[in-house]
Amino acid sequence: MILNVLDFPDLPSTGLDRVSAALTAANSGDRIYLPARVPYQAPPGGWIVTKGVEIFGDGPGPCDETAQYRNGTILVPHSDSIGDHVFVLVPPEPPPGVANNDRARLEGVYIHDLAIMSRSAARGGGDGIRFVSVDTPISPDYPLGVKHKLTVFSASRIAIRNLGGSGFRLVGADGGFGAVNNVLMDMCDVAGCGSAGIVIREGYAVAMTSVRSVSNVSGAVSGDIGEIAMMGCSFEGAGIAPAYACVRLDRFSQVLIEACRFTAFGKPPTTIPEAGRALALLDVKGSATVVGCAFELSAPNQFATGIAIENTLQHTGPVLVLPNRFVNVGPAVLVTGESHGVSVMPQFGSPLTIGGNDAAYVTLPPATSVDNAAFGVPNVNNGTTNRIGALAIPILAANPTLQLTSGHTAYVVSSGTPGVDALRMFVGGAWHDVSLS
Amino acid sequence: MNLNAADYPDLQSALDAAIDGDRVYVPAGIWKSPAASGFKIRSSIEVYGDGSGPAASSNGTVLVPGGPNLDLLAVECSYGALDGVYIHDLRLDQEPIGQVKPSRGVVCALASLQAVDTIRIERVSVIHCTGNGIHVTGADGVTGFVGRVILDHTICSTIGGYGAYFENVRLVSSLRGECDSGLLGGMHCKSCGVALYNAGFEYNGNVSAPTVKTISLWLESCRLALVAACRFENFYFGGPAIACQFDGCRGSAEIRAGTFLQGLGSGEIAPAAVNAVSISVPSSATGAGPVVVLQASHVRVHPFLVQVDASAVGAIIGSSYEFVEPGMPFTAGSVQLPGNPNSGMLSAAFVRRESGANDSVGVILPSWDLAADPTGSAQHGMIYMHLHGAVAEPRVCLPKPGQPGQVEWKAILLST
Repeated sequence: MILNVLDFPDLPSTGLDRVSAALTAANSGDRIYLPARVPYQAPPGGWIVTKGVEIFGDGPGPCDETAQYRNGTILVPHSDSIGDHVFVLVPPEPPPGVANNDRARLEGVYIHDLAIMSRSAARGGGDGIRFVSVDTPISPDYPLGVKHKLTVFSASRIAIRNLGGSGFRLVGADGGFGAVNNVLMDMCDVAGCGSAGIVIREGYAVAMTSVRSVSNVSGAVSGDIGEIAMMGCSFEGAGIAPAYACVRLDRFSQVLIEACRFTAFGKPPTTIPEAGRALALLDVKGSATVVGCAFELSAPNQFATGIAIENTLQHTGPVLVLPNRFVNVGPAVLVTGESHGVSVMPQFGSPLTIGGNDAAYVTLPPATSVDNAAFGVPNVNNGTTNRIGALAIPILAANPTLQLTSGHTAYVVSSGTPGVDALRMFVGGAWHDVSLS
Repeated sequence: MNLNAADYPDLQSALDAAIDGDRVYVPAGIWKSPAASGFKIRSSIEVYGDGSGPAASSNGTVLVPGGPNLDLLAVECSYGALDGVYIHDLRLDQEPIGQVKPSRGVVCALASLQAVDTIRIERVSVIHCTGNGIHVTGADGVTGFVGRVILDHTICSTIGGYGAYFENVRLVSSLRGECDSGLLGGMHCKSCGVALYNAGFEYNGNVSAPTVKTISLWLESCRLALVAACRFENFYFGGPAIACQFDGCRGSAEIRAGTFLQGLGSGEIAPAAVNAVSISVPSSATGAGPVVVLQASHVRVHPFLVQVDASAVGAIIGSSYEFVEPGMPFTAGSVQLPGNPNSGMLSAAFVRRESGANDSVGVILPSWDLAADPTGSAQHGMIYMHLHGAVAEPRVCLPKPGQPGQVEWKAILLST
């Protein structure tokens, strides 16, 4: 059933504005329509969504940060306070005495065709769309605590501007009853927010298509733990300390980034030694692939890294970096030690030097790091002069003993002592050092 | 605000009444443009109908030209920028009685200092145009450009030009689109970023002019070209034909999980140059690549599954499957890499043939014609083929004794 919020009384002084009234009246599966050109101001704390409903407007309109043109369906927070969000997704509580099961879940929320903006041209308010799972005791009835779960959440054609918090903040507690599951963001546009544009934690089967996240204070996307696919997205911004990353994905088990565009992620080199990173893949614990992306900077902030593959906790990998485009970028791909199974294929990069320093280069783990199984052809084409690359083969500390195939295995054995390293091949059922000059 | 075109004297009046952010609903029926011009969209609005309906029917929401040689639905940006135009659930077709055909279907041709951020086209059928079905061009990509064109479930069929033509569009992304029966080709993208998923290209080419080279998907000078899970069918009409051509692409280009199917009939065993994928370097370009071709499936393609020009760099060719009809040469469906120093190729271009012999190859090492070993990018564990004059020698890079952090190249000694 479609519920038009204009059919409901607007009594904000009684604590029940027309959108809250429609949300109260709706059943799961209903559609709530918010026509355009009507100002919708959220109640203190935000509108609480506890049912699987569709909330839609007449489109975001041409959202302008100066608030001059607001012709679409526009929603604003109650105040400029960081605690005043716009939509807060809260699962219905489970039956009393039941805890840590999957009954505390909110399923099937679909929000589309509207804009969420600060009340004025200035930044203010909390998060645009917020879900925070609870992983602590919340009442005497639930001594073990209840982990809320968000599943099958979709957001499409939503513009979010100048909020004090994040555009989307979807924070799960774990990968089970407290997870954020099956999230689709399509054609959403987040700009000018006071935190990261999109914050996601413990998010599984998350897909972003044609999402734009730009000019947000803490970067475009900040993610911790989960599975994510990004396709055809645009990201801008360098983030803030300590991450300094436009898109930061930490401890993800599955990452696919295709045909995305990263810009304005650089910092002046005198400001920060690391000078920013477009994409930081930290402690990947599964599979990560980056392909067909563009990383482009403009002077003078050119000394930033395109793709940083880093290990901070344990071994990280595998990561596959297929061809991408790097323009005015310092290191194109920078892989630090103990990153395992990283494959870097040829890239396009231009120029090859910036201010007399190397640019658009690929760095694999150093010789002091063994067992990294790095593989690839990390050469760079800039259309005129190529940065010459060769086939990088795994470096191991000892002979492998498992999964051996005669004649098919070659590696560099690293003893840790320069000068006694060797190239070895497995031929005829045994390892052989290959003779070198 | 939602405007219903039925409340206005004609559709153009509704389009003119709409302001930025409005939606214009076009109910099912035939909507004829003015006799002297097609429909014009001049603001950032959504235009939508009740569905495209089947081709050549009067069902659905159908826009038709009021006279000959008209661009049917044009997005105009007189000066400055449009935020976004969203067109969905309708059909652009020929006039049903006199069968007057549109010149072009959806058009956005920008001049300098004009920009459109996003054009989104969903569930739209563009049929029977004499020119290009969808035609979107920015002036130069810098002072005049289109930010994004998003095609979803959009069909361009029976077209006199290209099914879709894009130039200076920063990103063209398409999901489940189809371009078929375009006389000049299915889709031509020039100086764009392109990401195509699950698109179909079929019967593109001119059967009446078989000597004209036919390219179903032509990606020319693109910075990004990503083609995934797309299907190319019947792309040979008796002359030179290429299903997918990466032409001077410099940035990142990839085609994976593609299907190339040449149907029965005259194209079954093509004597001419019929390639599934061609990675070419035009004479005007100084190089092309990198390009990745992964796990393609081919049926009745001859001679090449993948053909790579000499000056392409960084190509990676994965294994492929080739179905060879009885009577076809067993060399059908082969992979052609440059014979010259190949600038960083990597390949295990194994071809699995349904009948006949399989092509089995090892890993192809990057090879460089150099007087000395590489220094700037030398890293521990690298192997390459060193070419110097008539001497070819594999070399490996290892740590340098007594000099921490330094590496040196060693020649790999081969048995005679």
